[in-house]
Amino acid sequence: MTIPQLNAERTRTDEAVIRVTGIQHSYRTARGPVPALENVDLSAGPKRFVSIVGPSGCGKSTLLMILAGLVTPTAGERYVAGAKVTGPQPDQVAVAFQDACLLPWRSALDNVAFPLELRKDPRAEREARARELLEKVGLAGYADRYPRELSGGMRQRVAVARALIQRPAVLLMDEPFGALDEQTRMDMGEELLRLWDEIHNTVIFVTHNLAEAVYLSDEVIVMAARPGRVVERVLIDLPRPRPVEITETEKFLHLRNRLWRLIRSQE
Amino acid sequence: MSTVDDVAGRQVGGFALPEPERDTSRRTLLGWRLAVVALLLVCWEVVPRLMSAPSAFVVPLSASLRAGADQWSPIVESLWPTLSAILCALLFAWLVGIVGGFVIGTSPRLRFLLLIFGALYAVPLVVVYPLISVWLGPGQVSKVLFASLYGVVPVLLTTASGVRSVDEGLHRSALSMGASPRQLLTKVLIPAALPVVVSGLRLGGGLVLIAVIVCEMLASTSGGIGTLITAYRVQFNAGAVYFCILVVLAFALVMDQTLGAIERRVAGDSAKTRTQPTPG
Repeated sequence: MTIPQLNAERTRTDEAVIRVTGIQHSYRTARGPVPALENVDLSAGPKRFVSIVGPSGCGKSTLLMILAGLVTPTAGERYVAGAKVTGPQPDQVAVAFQDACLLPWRSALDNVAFPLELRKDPRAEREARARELLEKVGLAGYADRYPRELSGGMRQRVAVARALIQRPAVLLMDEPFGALDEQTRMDMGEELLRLWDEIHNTVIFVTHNLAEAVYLSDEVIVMAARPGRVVERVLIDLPRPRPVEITETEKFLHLRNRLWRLIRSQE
Repeated sequence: MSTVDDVAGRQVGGFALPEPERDTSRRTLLGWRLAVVALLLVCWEVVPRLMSAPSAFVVPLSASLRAGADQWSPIVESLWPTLSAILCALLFAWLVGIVGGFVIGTSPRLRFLLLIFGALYAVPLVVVYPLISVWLGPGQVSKVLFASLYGVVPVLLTTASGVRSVDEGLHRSALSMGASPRQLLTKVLIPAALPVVVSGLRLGGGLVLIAVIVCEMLASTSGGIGTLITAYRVQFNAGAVYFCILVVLAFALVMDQTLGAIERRVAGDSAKTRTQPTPG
Protein backbone atom coordinates (compact mmCIF):
# COMPACT_ATOMS: atom_id res chain seq x y z
CA MET A 1 0.00 0.00 0.00
CA THR A 2 1.37 3.39 -0.93
CA ILE A 3 1.57 6.43 1.27
CA PRO A 4 -1.21 8.48 -0.43
CA GLN A 5 -3.57 5.57 0.01
CA LEU A 6 -2.75 5.41 3.71
CA ASN A 7 -3.45 9.11 4.03
CA ALA A 8 -6.74 8.69 2.22
CA GLU A 9 -7.70 6.01 4.72
CA ARG A 10 -6.82 8.26 7.58
CA THR A 11 -9.07 11.07 6.42
CA ARG A 12 -11.86 8.62 5.80
CA THR A 13 -11.75 7.46 9.44
CA ASP A 14 -11.49 10.90 10.97
CA GLU A 15 -14.46 10.19 13.15
CA ALA A 16 -12.54 7.22 14.56
CA VAL A 17 -13.58 6.11 18.03
CA ILE A 18 -10.03 5.15 18.78
CA ARG A 19 -6.90 6.13 16.91
CA VAL A 20 -3.16 5.97 17.37
CA THR A 21 -0.70 7.82 15.14
CA GLY A 22 3.05 7.66 14.67
CA ILE A 23 3.50 4.98 17.30
CA GLN A 24 7.11 4.05 17.96
CA HIS A 25 7.86 1.63 20.70
CA SER A 26 11.02 -0.09 21.82
CA TYR A 27 11.85 -2.30 24.74
CA ARG A 28 14.78 -1.46 26.90
CA THR A 29 17.03 -4.45 27.34
CA ALA A 30 20.54 -4.92 28.69
CA ARG A 31 21.87 -4.77 25.11
CA GLY A 32 20.11 -1.50 24.35
CA PRO A 33 16.66 -0.68 23.00
CA VAL A 34 14.96 -3.28 20.79
CA PRO A 35 12.42 -1.77 18.40
CA ALA A 36 9.00 -3.42 18.79
CA LEU A 37 6.81 -1.09 16.74
CA GLU A 38 7.79 1.38 14.07
CA ASN A 39 5.63 4.19 12.79
CA VAL A 40 2.28 2.48 13.34
CA ASP A 41 -0.98 4.26 12.56
CA LEU A 42 -4.23 2.56 13.40
CA SER A 43 -7.79 3.73 13.69
CA ALA A 44 -11.17 2.13 14.10
CA GLY A 45 -14.46 3.80 13.27
CA PRO A 46 -17.65 3.44 15.26
CA LYS A 47 -19.29 0.01 15.20
CA ARG A 48 -16.41 -1.52 13.29
CA PHE A 49 -14.96 -4.95 13.99
CA VAL A 50 -11.24 -4.71 13.30
CA SER A 51 -8.81 -7.60 13.66
CA ILE A 52 -5.05 -7.39 13.89
CA VAL A 53 -3.13 -10.38 12.55
CA GLY A 54 0.55 -11.05 12.09
CA PRO A 55 3.34 -13.46 12.93
CA SER A 56 4.39 -13.83 16.55
CA GLY A 57 6.76 -11.07 17.55
CA CYS A 58 5.17 -8.47 15.26
CA GLY A 59 4.08 -6.47 18.30
CA LYS A 60 0.32 -6.90 17.84
CA SER A 61 -0.28 -7.51 21.53
CA THR A 62 1.96 -4.57 22.43
CA LEU A 63 -0.03 -2.41 20.02
CA LEU A 64 -3.24 -3.50 21.73
CA MET A 65 -1.80 -2.66 25.14
CA ILE A 66 -0.89 0.78 23.78
CA LEU A 67 -4.45 1.19 22.50
CA ALA A 68 -5.64 0.20 25.99
CA GLY A 69 -3.37 2.80 27.58
CA LEU A 70 -1.62 0.11 29.62
CA VAL A 71 1.69 0.56 27.82
CA THR A 72 3.07 4.02 27.12
CA PRO A 73 4.74 4.07 23.69
CA THR A 74 8.16 5.59 23.21
CA ALA A 75 6.56 8.05 20.80
CA GLY A 76 3.18 8.65 19.22
CA GLU A 77 -0.28 9.88 20.08
CA ARG A 78 -3.49 8.21 21.11
CA TYR A 79 -7.00 9.56 20.69
CA VAL A 80 -10.15 8.15 22.23
CA ALA A 81 -13.42 9.65 20.98
CA GLY A 82 -11.46 12.49 19.45
CA ALA A 83 -9.63 13.50 22.62
CA LYS A 84 -5.90 13.01 23.06
CA VAL A 85 -5.43 10.83 26.14
CA THR A 86 -2.92 8.69 28.02
CA GLY A 87 -3.58 5.84 30.42
CA PRO A 88 -6.60 3.57 30.79
CA GLN A 89 -10.01 5.04 29.91
CA PRO A 90 -12.33 2.67 31.80
CA ASP A 91 -15.46 4.56 30.77
CA GLN A 92 -14.76 4.13 27.07
CA VAL A 93 -12.24 1.36 26.57
CA ALA A 94 -12.46 -2.16 28.00
CA VAL A 95 -9.96 -4.98 27.58
CA ALA A 96 -10.44 -8.76 27.47
CA PHE A 97 -7.11 -10.46 28.04
CA GLN A 98 -5.81 -13.70 26.62
CA ASP A 99 -5.84 -15.62 29.89
CA ALA A 100 -9.12 -14.22 31.24
CA CYS A 101 -7.34 -12.65 34.27
CA LEU A 102 -10.21 -13.32 36.65
CA LEU A 103 -9.68 -12.74 40.36
CA PRO A 104 -9.52 -16.33 41.65
CA TRP A 105 -11.03 -15.54 45.08
CA ARG A 106 -14.16 -14.00 43.56
CA SER A 107 -17.19 -15.77 42.14
CA ALA A 108 -18.12 -15.27 38.50
CA LEU A 109 -20.73 -12.73 39.54
CA ASP A 110 -18.30 -10.73 41.70
CA ASN A 111 -15.73 -10.82 38.93
CA VAL A 112 -18.18 -9.41 36.40
CA ALA A 113 -19.32 -6.76 38.89
CA PHE A 114 -15.74 -5.78 39.71
CA PRO A 115 -15.45 -2.77 37.32
CA LEU A 116 -18.65 -1.31 38.79
CA GLU A 117 -17.35 -1.95 42.30
CA LEU A 118 -14.23 0.04 41.43
CA ARG A 119 -16.59 2.78 40.23
CA LYS A 120 -18.37 2.54 43.61
CA ASP A 121 -21.78 1.79 42.15
CA PRO A 122 -24.35 0.54 44.70
CA ARG A 123 -24.18 -3.20 45.32
CA ALA A 124 -27.72 -4.06 44.24
CA GLU A 125 -27.30 -2.24 40.98
CA ARG A 126 -23.96 -3.76 40.06
CA GLU A 127 -25.13 -7.28 40.91
CA ALA A 128 -28.23 -6.87 38.80
CA ARG A 129 -26.12 -5.68 35.89
CA ALA A 130 -23.61 -8.48 36.38
CA ARG A 131 -26.39 -11.10 36.36
CA GLU A 132 -27.77 -9.57 33.18
CA LEU A 133 -24.38 -9.82 31.48
CA LEU A 134 -23.69 -13.35 32.71
CA GLU A 135 -27.01 -14.30 31.16
CA LYS A 136 -26.00 -12.61 27.94
CA VAL A 137 -22.85 -14.70 27.67
CA GLY A 138 -24.78 -17.88 28.47
CA LEU A 139 -23.63 -18.35 32.07
CA ALA A 140 -26.82 -17.50 33.94
CA GLY A 141 -26.55 -20.58 36.18
CA TYR A 142 -22.89 -20.06 37.05
CA ALA A 143 -22.97 -16.80 38.99
CA ASP A 144 -21.71 -18.40 42.21
CA ARG A 145 -18.97 -20.51 40.66
CA TYR A 146 -15.33 -19.64 41.22
CA PRO A 147 -12.99 -19.35 38.22
CA ARG A 148 -11.37 -22.67 39.03
CA GLU A 149 -14.73 -24.37 38.80
CA LEU A 150 -15.26 -23.08 35.25
CA SER A 151 -13.86 -24.41 31.99
CA GLY A 152 -11.46 -22.29 29.95
CA GLY A 153 -14.20 -21.20 27.57
CA MET A 154 -16.49 -20.26 30.42
CA ARG A 155 -13.77 -18.24 32.11
CA GLN A 156 -13.23 -16.37 28.88
CA ARG A 157 -16.95 -15.62 28.69
CA VAL A 158 -16.86 -14.23 32.22
CA ALA A 159 -13.97 -12.01 31.13
CA VAL A 160 -15.97 -10.77 28.14
CA ALA A 161 -18.98 -10.08 30.37
CA ARG A 162 -16.71 -8.18 32.76
CA ALA A 163 -15.41 -6.06 29.88
CA LEU A 164 -18.91 -5.39 28.56
CA ILE A 165 -20.24 -4.27 31.95
CA GLN A 166 -18.12 -1.15 31.47
CA ARG A 167 -20.37 -0.32 28.47
CA PRO A 168 -17.25 0.42 26.44
CA ALA A 169 -17.34 2.28 23.16
CA VAL A 170 -14.26 0.22 22.28
CA LEU A 171 -13.68 -3.38 23.27
CA LEU A 172 -10.07 -4.52 22.93
CA MET A 173 -9.54 -8.28 22.80
CA ASP A 174 -6.07 -9.81 23.06
CA GLU A 175 -6.26 -13.31 21.58
CA PRO A 176 -9.15 -14.04 23.90
CA PHE A 177 -9.74 -17.49 22.43
CA GLY A 178 -6.08 -18.32 21.86
CA ALA A 179 -5.88 -20.84 24.67
CA LEU A 180 -9.04 -22.71 23.65
CA ASP A 181 -9.37 -25.77 21.46
CA GLU A 182 -10.51 -25.35 17.85
CA GLN A 183 -14.13 -26.40 18.38
CA THR A 184 -14.65 -24.12 21.38
CA ARG A 185 -12.89 -21.33 19.55
CA MET A 186 -15.36 -21.50 16.64
CA ASP A 187 -18.32 -21.63 19.03
CA MET A 188 -16.99 -18.63 20.91
CA GLY A 189 -16.45 -16.71 17.68
CA GLU A 190 -19.99 -17.36 16.56
CA GLU A 191 -21.30 -16.34 19.94
CA LEU A 192 -19.17 -13.22 19.99
CA LEU A 193 -20.71 -12.12 16.69
CA ARG A 194 -24.22 -12.72 18.03
CA LEU A 195 -23.35 -10.66 21.11
CA TRP A 196 -21.75 -7.96 19.02
CA ASP A 197 -24.89 -7.67 16.88
CA GLU A 198 -26.68 -6.59 20.05
CA ILE A 199 -24.06 -4.26 21.47
CA HIS A 200 -22.57 -3.06 18.22
CA ASN A 201 -19.62 -1.14 19.56
CA THR A 202 -16.12 -0.99 18.11
CA VAL A 203 -14.04 -4.11 18.61
CA ILE A 204 -10.31 -4.46 18.04
CA PHE A 205 -9.42 -8.11 18.09
CA VAL A 206 -5.87 -9.48 18.11
CA THR A 207 -5.47 -13.02 16.83
CA HIS A 208 -3.02 -15.22 14.96
CA ASN A 209 -5.85 -17.31 13.53
CA LEU A 210 -6.55 -15.98 10.01
CA ALA A 211 -9.88 -17.80 9.55
CA GLU A 212 -11.08 -16.34 12.83
CA ALA A 213 -10.01 -12.86 11.74
CA VAL A 214 -11.87 -13.12 8.41
CA TYR A 215 -14.96 -14.64 9.98
CA LEU A 216 -15.34 -11.95 12.62
CA SER A 217 -14.11 -8.73 11.04
CA ASP A 218 -15.05 -5.79 8.88
CA GLU A 219 -11.39 -5.14 8.28
CA VAL A 220 -8.18 -6.97 9.04
CA ILE A 221 -4.92 -5.20 9.72
CA VAL A 222 -1.90 -7.25 8.72
CA MET A 223 1.32 -6.65 10.59
CA ALA A 224 4.88 -7.76 9.96
CA ALA A 225 7.72 -8.32 12.40
CA ARG A 226 11.22 -6.92 12.95
CA PRO A 227 10.34 -4.15 13.38
CA GLY A 228 6.60 -4.44 14.05
CA ARG A 229 4.68 -2.47 11.42
CA VAL A 230 1.37 -2.39 9.59
CA VAL A 231 1.70 -3.72 6.05
CA GLU A 232 -1.86 -3.78 4.80
CA ARG A 233 -5.44 -3.12 5.71
CA VAL A 234 -7.78 -5.67 4.14
CA LEU A 235 -11.49 -4.94 3.97
CA ILE A 236 -13.67 -7.99 4.60
CA ASP A 237 -16.81 -7.38 2.55
CA LEU A 238 -18.62 -10.55 3.54
CA PRO A 239 -22.32 -10.00 4.29
CA ARG A 240 -23.62 -10.08 7.85
CA PRO A 241 -25.00 -11.90 9.72
CA ARG A 242 -22.44 -14.60 9.03
CA PRO A 243 -23.43 -18.21 9.60
CA VAL A 244 -20.53 -20.59 10.29
CA GLU A 245 -21.05 -22.11 6.82
CA ILE A 246 -19.65 -18.92 5.34
CA THR A 247 -16.20 -20.23 6.24
CA GLU A 248 -16.56 -22.77 3.41
CA THR A 249 -17.43 -20.25 0.67
CA GLU A 250 -14.94 -19.40 -2.03
CA LYS A 251 -14.88 -15.74 -1.10
CA PHE A 252 -14.03 -16.52 2.51
CA LEU A 253 -11.19 -18.84 1.50
CA HIS A 254 -9.94 -16.30 -0.99
CA LEU A 255 -9.74 -13.61 1.70
CA ARG A 256 -8.10 -15.96 4.13
CA ASN A 257 -5.50 -16.99 1.54
CA ARG A 258 -4.82 -13.39 0.72
CA LEU A 259 -4.03 -12.68 4.36
CA TRP A 260 -1.88 -15.77 4.46
CA ARG A 261 0.12 -14.69 1.41
CA LEU A 262 0.53 -11.18 2.82
CA ILE A 263 2.02 -12.55 6.00
CA ARG A 264 4.22 -15.05 4.17
CA SER A 265 5.57 -12.40 1.79
CA GLN A 266 6.89 -10.40 4.72
CA GLU A 267 9.03 -13.17 6.18
CA MET B 1 -23.15 -24.54 25.00
CA SER B 2 -24.38 -27.74 26.55
CA THR B 3 -21.08 -29.57 26.02
CA VAL B 4 -19.15 -26.91 27.90
CA ASP B 5 -21.64 -26.92 30.74
CA ASP B 6 -21.40 -30.68 31.05
CA VAL B 7 -17.66 -30.53 31.47
CA ALA B 8 -17.90 -28.02 34.28
CA GLY B 9 -20.74 -29.96 35.90
CA ARG B 10 -18.57 -33.05 36.07
CA GLN B 11 -15.71 -31.08 37.52
CA VAL B 12 -17.83 -29.67 40.27
CA GLY B 13 -19.21 -33.14 40.98
CA GLY B 14 -15.61 -34.29 41.31
CA PHE B 15 -14.97 -31.62 43.93
CA ALA B 16 -17.80 -32.70 46.13
CA LEU B 17 -17.08 -36.43 46.12
CA PRO B 18 -13.77 -36.86 47.97
CA GLU B 19 -14.95 -34.82 51.01
CA PRO B 20 -16.05 -37.65 53.36
CA GLU B 21 -13.00 -39.77 52.47
CA ARG B 22 -10.66 -36.96 53.42
CA ASP B 23 -12.47 -36.59 56.75
CA THR B 24 -11.91 -40.19 57.79
CA SER B 25 -8.26 -40.10 56.73
CA ARG B 26 -7.77 -36.97 58.81
CA ARG B 27 -9.25 -38.74 61.82
CA THR B 28 -6.96 -41.77 61.42
CA LEU B 29 -4.00 -39.43 61.11
CA LEU B 30 -4.94 -37.72 64.38
CA GLY B 31 -5.26 -41.14 66.03
CA TRP B 32 -1.76 -42.10 64.89
CA ARG B 33 -0.33 -38.83 66.17
CA LEU B 34 -1.88 -39.28 69.60
CA ALA B 35 -0.60 -42.86 69.72
CA VAL B 36 2.95 -41.68 68.97
CA VAL B 37 2.75 -39.00 71.68
CA ALA B 38 1.42 -41.53 74.20
CA LEU B 39 4.23 -43.93 73.32
CA LEU B 40 6.83 -41.22 73.84
CA LEU B 41 5.38 -40.30 77.22
CA VAL B 42 5.45 -43.93 78.33
CA CYS B 43 9.06 -44.23 77.19
CA TRP B 44 9.90 -41.06 79.11
CA GLU B 45 8.50 -42.62 82.26
CA VAL B 46 9.92 -46.13 81.82
CA VAL B 47 13.32 -45.74 80.17
CA PRO B 48 15.02 -43.58 82.87
CA ARG B 49 13.90 -46.06 85.53
CA LEU B 50 15.21 -49.05 83.55
CA MET B 51 18.51 -47.30 82.85
CA SER B 52 18.70 -46.05 86.45
CA ALA B 53 20.31 -42.91 85.02
CA PRO B 54 21.57 -40.23 87.43
CA SER B 55 18.62 -38.01 88.38
CA ALA B 56 20.45 -34.82 87.31
CA PHE B 57 20.38 -35.87 83.63
CA VAL B 58 17.25 -37.80 82.81
CA VAL B 59 14.15 -37.50 84.94
CA PRO B 60 11.07 -39.69 84.53
CA LEU B 61 7.83 -37.98 83.55
CA SER B 62 6.23 -38.42 86.96
CA ALA B 63 9.23 -36.85 88.73
CA SER B 64 9.18 -33.87 86.33
CA LEU B 65 5.50 -33.29 87.00
CA ARG B 66 6.11 -33.50 90.74
CA ALA B 67 8.94 -30.95 90.46
CA GLY B 68 6.60 -28.71 88.47
CA ALA B 69 3.98 -28.95 91.20
CA ASP B 70 6.60 -28.09 93.86
CA GLN B 71 7.71 -25.01 91.93
CA TRP B 72 4.17 -24.08 90.91
CA SER B 73 4.09 -20.47 92.08
CA PRO B 74 7.42 -19.24 90.54
CA ILE B 75 6.48 -20.95 87.29
CA VAL B 76 3.04 -19.34 87.18
CA GLU B 77 4.59 -15.96 87.98
CA SER B 78 7.03 -16.40 85.09
CA LEU B 79 4.33 -17.15 82.56
CA TRP B 80 3.16 -13.56 82.15
CA PRO B 81 6.57 -11.96 81.41
CA THR B 82 7.20 -14.56 78.73
CA LEU B 83 3.71 -14.50 77.28
CA SER B 84 3.42 -10.72 77.21
CA ALA B 85 6.83 -10.36 75.57
CA ILE B 86 5.85 -12.91 72.92
CA LEU B 87 2.55 -11.17 72.19
CA CYS B 88 4.09 -7.67 71.96
CA ALA B 89 6.93 -8.87 69.77
CA LEU B 90 4.54 -10.81 67.52
CA LEU B 91 2.37 -7.75 67.06
CA PHE B 92 5.35 -5.59 66.19
CA ALA B 93 7.07 -8.13 63.94
CA TRP B 94 3.89 -8.91 62.03
CA LEU B 95 2.78 -5.32 61.59
CA VAL B 96 6.15 -3.97 60.55
CA GLY B 97 6.88 -7.06 58.46
CA ILE B 98 3.60 -6.92 56.56
CA VAL B 99 3.63 -3.18 55.95
CA GLY B 100 7.34 -3.15 55.08
CA GLY B 101 6.95 -6.20 52.86
CA PHE B 102 4.12 -4.58 50.91
CA VAL B 103 6.03 -1.32 50.50
CA ILE B 104 9.21 -3.04 49.35
CA GLY B 105 7.38 -5.61 47.24
CA THR B 106 5.41 -2.99 45.32
CA SER B 107 8.10 -0.41 44.68
CA PRO B 108 10.90 -1.42 42.31
CA ARG B 109 13.14 1.30 43.69
CA LEU B 110 13.21 -0.30 47.15
CA ARG B 111 13.85 -3.84 45.90
CA PHE B 112 17.53 -3.57 46.87
CA LEU B 113 16.43 -3.59 50.51
CA LEU B 114 15.39 -7.22 50.03
CA LEU B 115 19.05 -8.13 49.56
CA ILE B 116 19.92 -6.45 52.84
CA PHE B 117 17.14 -8.18 54.73
CA GLY B 118 18.02 -11.46 53.05
CA ALA B 119 21.58 -11.11 54.31
CA LEU B 120 20.27 -10.17 57.74
CA TYR B 121 18.32 -13.41 57.79
CA ALA B 122 21.60 -15.33 57.67
CA VAL B 123 23.23 -13.36 60.52
CA PRO B 124 22.82 -14.94 63.97
CA LEU B 125 21.12 -11.86 65.38
CA VAL B 126 21.53 -13.16 68.90
CA VAL B 127 24.99 -11.54 68.89
CA VAL B 128 23.35 -8.10 69.21
CA TYR B 129 21.28 -9.04 72.25
CA PRO B 130 24.06 -8.22 74.74
CA LEU B 131 24.21 -4.72 73.23
CA ILE B 132 20.46 -4.23 73.38
CA SER B 133 20.32 -5.45 76.96
CA VAL B 134 23.04 -2.99 77.91
CA TRP B 135 21.30 -0.07 76.20
CA LEU B 136 17.79 -0.80 77.37
CA GLY B 137 18.39 -2.89 80.47
CA PRO B 138 17.63 -6.59 80.67
CA GLY B 139 13.87 -6.18 81.19
CA GLN B 140 10.78 -6.58 79.03
CA VAL B 141 11.64 -3.76 76.63
CA SER B 142 14.90 -5.20 75.39
CA LYS B 143 13.31 -8.64 75.17
CA VAL B 144 10.45 -7.34 73.03
CA LEU B 145 12.76 -5.30 70.81
CA PHE B 146 15.15 -8.18 70.20
CA ALA B 147 12.38 -10.70 69.53
CA SER B 148 10.68 -8.23 67.17
CA LEU B 149 13.89 -7.74 65.20
CA TYR B 150 14.34 -11.48 65.05
CA GLY B 151 10.82 -12.17 63.86
CA VAL B 152 10.32 -9.27 61.46
CA VAL B 153 12.84 -10.42 58.86
CA PRO B 154 11.10 -13.57 57.55
CA VAL B 155 7.70 -11.85 57.70
CA LEU B 156 9.02 -8.99 55.60
CA LEU B 157 10.82 -11.23 53.13
CA THR B 158 7.91 -13.59 52.53
CA THR B 159 5.39 -10.73 52.30
CA ALA B 160 7.54 -8.94 49.74
CA SER B 161 7.98 -12.08 47.65
CA GLY B 162 4.27 -12.85 47.98
CA VAL B 163 3.41 -9.40 46.66
CA ARG B 164 5.91 -9.66 43.83
CA SER B 165 4.59 -13.03 42.72
CA VAL B 166 1.06 -11.71 42.17
CA ASP B 167 0.05 -12.37 38.57
CA GLU B 168 0.93 -9.41 36.36
CA GLY B 169 -2.27 -10.03 34.38
CA LEU B 170 -4.47 -9.39 37.43
CA HIS B 171 -2.64 -6.12 37.96
CA ARG B 172 -3.08 -5.08 34.35
CA SER B 173 -6.71 -6.01 34.05
CA ALA B 174 -7.56 -4.11 37.25
CA LEU B 175 -5.75 -1.06 35.84
CA SER B 176 -7.69 -1.30 32.60
CA MET B 177 -10.90 -1.27 34.63
CA GLY B 178 -9.83 1.96 36.26
CA ALA B 179 -8.59 0.76 39.66
CA SER B 180 -6.94 3.48 41.75
CA PRO B 181 -3.61 2.65 43.44
CA ARG B 182 -5.50 2.18 46.69
CA GLN B 183 -8.07 -0.14 45.12
CA LEU B 184 -5.29 -2.05 43.44
CA LEU B 185 -3.75 -2.67 46.86
CA THR B 186 -6.87 -3.57 48.82
CA LYS B 187 -8.82 -5.44 46.14
CA VAL B 188 -6.09 -7.17 44.17
CA LEU B 189 -2.64 -7.27 45.77
CA ILE B 190 -3.56 -8.01 49.39
CA PRO B 191 -6.04 -10.82 48.72
CA ALA B 192 -3.75 -12.34 46.09
CA ALA B 193 -0.71 -12.31 48.38
CA LEU B 194 -2.55 -13.43 51.52
CA PRO B 195 -1.66 -17.17 51.54
CA VAL B 196 2.06 -16.43 51.23
CA VAL B 197 1.84 -13.68 53.84
CA VAL B 198 0.26 -16.03 56.39
CA SER B 199 3.01 -18.60 55.92
CA GLY B 200 5.50 -15.79 56.62
CA LEU B 201 3.63 -14.93 59.84
CA ARG B 202 4.07 -18.53 60.95
CA LEU B 203 7.81 -18.46 60.30
CA GLY B 204 8.19 -15.15 62.12
CA GLY B 205 6.09 -16.39 65.03
CA GLY B 206 8.41 -19.34 65.58
CA LEU B 207 11.45 -17.06 65.63
CA VAL B 208 9.81 -14.63 68.06
CA LEU B 209 9.24 -17.46 70.52
CA ILE B 210 12.84 -18.64 70.22
CA ALA B 211 14.16 -15.11 70.66
CA VAL B 212 12.15 -14.40 73.80
CA ILE B 213 13.26 -17.62 75.49
CA VAL B 214 16.89 -17.06 74.47
CA CYS B 215 16.83 -13.52 75.90
CA GLU B 216 15.45 -14.81 79.15
CA MET B 217 18.10 -17.49 79.37
CA LEU B 218 20.93 -15.05 78.61
CA ALA B 219 19.89 -12.31 81.05
CA SER B 220 19.15 -13.80 84.43
CA THR B 221 17.25 -10.75 85.66
CA SER B 222 14.79 -10.42 82.83
CA GLY B 223 12.28 -12.85 84.29
CA GLY B 224 10.19 -15.41 82.45
CA ILE B 225 10.32 -19.10 81.74
CA GLY B 226 13.77 -18.93 80.12
CA THR B 227 15.23 -17.31 83.22
CA LEU B 228 13.64 -20.01 85.37
CA ILE B 229 15.14 -22.75 83.21
CA THR B 230 18.60 -21.28 83.71
CA ALA B 231 17.98 -20.88 87.45
CA TYR B 232 16.81 -24.50 87.92
CA ARG B 233 19.73 -25.72 85.87
CA VAL B 234 22.16 -23.96 88.17
CA GLN B 235 20.34 -25.44 91.18
CA PHE B 236 20.57 -28.94 89.63
CA ASN B 237 16.78 -29.15 89.75
CA ALA B 238 16.51 -31.26 86.60
CA GLY B 239 12.84 -32.13 87.18
CA ALA B 240 11.84 -28.44 87.15
CA VAL B 241 13.96 -27.81 84.04
CA TYR B 242 12.07 -30.56 82.24
CA PHE B 243 8.77 -29.14 83.38
CA CYS B 244 9.66 -25.65 82.12
CA ILE B 245 10.69 -27.13 78.79
CA LEU B 246 7.24 -28.72 78.62
CA VAL B 247 5.68 -25.30 79.21
CA VAL B 248 7.70 -23.77 76.36
CA LEU B 249 6.71 -26.67 74.11
CA ALA B 250 3.08 -26.01 74.96
CA PHE B 251 3.51 -22.34 73.94
CA ALA B 252 5.08 -23.35 70.66
CA LEU B 253 2.45 -25.97 69.96
CA VAL B 254 -0.50 -23.66 70.61
CA MET B 255 0.94 -20.86 68.48
CA ASP B 256 1.96 -23.10 65.61
CA GLN B 257 -1.32 -24.98 65.52
CA THR B 258 -3.32 -21.74 65.56
CA LEU B 259 -1.33 -20.21 62.73
CA GLY B 260 -1.29 -23.51 60.86
CA ALA B 261 -5.09 -23.63 61.01
CA ILE B 262 -5.31 -20.06 59.68
CA GLU B 263 -2.81 -20.88 56.97
CA ARG B 264 -4.75 -23.97 55.88
CA ARG B 265 -7.92 -21.96 55.82
CA VAL B 266 -6.48 -19.18 53.70
CA ALA B 267 -4.62 -21.58 51.42
CA GLY B 268 -7.73 -23.75 51.18
CA ASP B 269 -9.81 -20.77 50.17
CA SER B 270 -7.40 -19.80 47.47
CA ALA B 271 -6.87 -23.40 46.33
CA LYS B 272 -10.60 -23.71 45.99
CA THR B 273 -10.63 -20.67 43.77
CA ARG B 274 -7.25 -20.76 42.04
CA THR B 275 -7.45 -20.71 38.27
CA GLN B 276 -6.07 -23.77 36.59
CA PRO B 277 -6.04 -24.41 32.88
CA THR B 278 -8.76 -26.80 31.83
CA PRO B 279 -9.48 -27.69 28.23
CA GLY B 280 -12.61 -26.28 26.65
